[in-house]
Amino acid sequence: MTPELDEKLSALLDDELPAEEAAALRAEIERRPELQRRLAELAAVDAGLRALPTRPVPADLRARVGARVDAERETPARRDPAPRRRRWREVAAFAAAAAALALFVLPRLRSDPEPTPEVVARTMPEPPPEVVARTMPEPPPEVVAQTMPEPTPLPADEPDLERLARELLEPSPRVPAAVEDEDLPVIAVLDVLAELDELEGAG
Amino acid sequence: MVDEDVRLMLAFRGGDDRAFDALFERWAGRVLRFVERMVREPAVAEDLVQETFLRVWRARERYRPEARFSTWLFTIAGNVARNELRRPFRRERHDSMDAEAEGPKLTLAADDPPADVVVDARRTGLGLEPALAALPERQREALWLRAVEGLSYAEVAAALETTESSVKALIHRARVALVREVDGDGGGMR
Repeated sequence: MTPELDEKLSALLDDELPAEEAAALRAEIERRPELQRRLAELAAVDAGLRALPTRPVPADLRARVGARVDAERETPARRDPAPRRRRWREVAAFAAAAAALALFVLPRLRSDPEPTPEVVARTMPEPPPEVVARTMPEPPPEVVAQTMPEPTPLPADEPDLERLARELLEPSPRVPAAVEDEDLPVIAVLDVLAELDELEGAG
Repeated sequence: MVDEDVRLMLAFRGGDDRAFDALFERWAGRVLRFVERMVREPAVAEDLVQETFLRVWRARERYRPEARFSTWLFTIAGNVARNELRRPFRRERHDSMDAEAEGPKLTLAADDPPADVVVDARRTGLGLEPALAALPERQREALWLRAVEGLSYAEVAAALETTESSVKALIHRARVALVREVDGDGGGMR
């Protein structure tokens, strides 16, 4: 008997053969005793499985499910890590914006005593007060002096500050067009955060 | 006419906790029987029944009566059991249990009852249980859902997230292995 025919017998047992194929196979089984024996063997397996002993459900199992349901009712928020993650995102996003400002914009601002307000506004979205408190303690002036790199002088043909800021904030191809300008400084960091989320999920 | 289980699930979705009790009464035994054959440890199986019904509870608002309730329930139970089998510590234990299951072979002693009686007995329990346990996990799950729970190939395929043709092959291979094992001419599971 071929493996294909054997598999057909199994499918016939499960009533999963197309009607015509099933009729043809039944006719063949009528003619061939070895197919009858094989079909009976396969059917005996199913009958044996259905006859396997079963044990009763423990009397307290429903109560145990109920206890877990009650526990979950009382602490539904534990299953949603989003709020914590959002707070972390807010802090990290603002830290990224602050870093971008410190690295690229402030040195240039120091060379230009009068930055235009709109450039500052586009580069530094106003963070919520609690984020400021957690991420940007006001350093004393001497610390700023020690940590700020000296600005390099601008060459004569250096583009103006507004254009520099625009180039800095140029969206990468991964950024959807709908992203607002003020979100752009944090896009790279959000990409990193997405990877962190994946790592966290994998862990 | 709406299937009774679907009616109960819809009632439960609508806030009737007694419907959940009724579903548990109707199905807990069959879920226990299924997951017990999957993980082969009674205490763990009971935990998995709890987890399955907890997931039913959690998913009540998302439930849509697009399939038979049993298909939905055994899909959840199968996922829960497979997750359990994939836990690293669990895998080690499971693999060693597989080795044990392959070990002792059933033999006919000289003072055994007549062969035809023995064959029936072996098929209906003595031989089938360890042979079933030694089947590859997906063969075991597919055959159980089809032969015992009466799911169609399409329903088993949905539960195992595979194709109907794969289910057909899985079930056939499982049956052939069990026939070979209980008839004692297979030399163990392959």
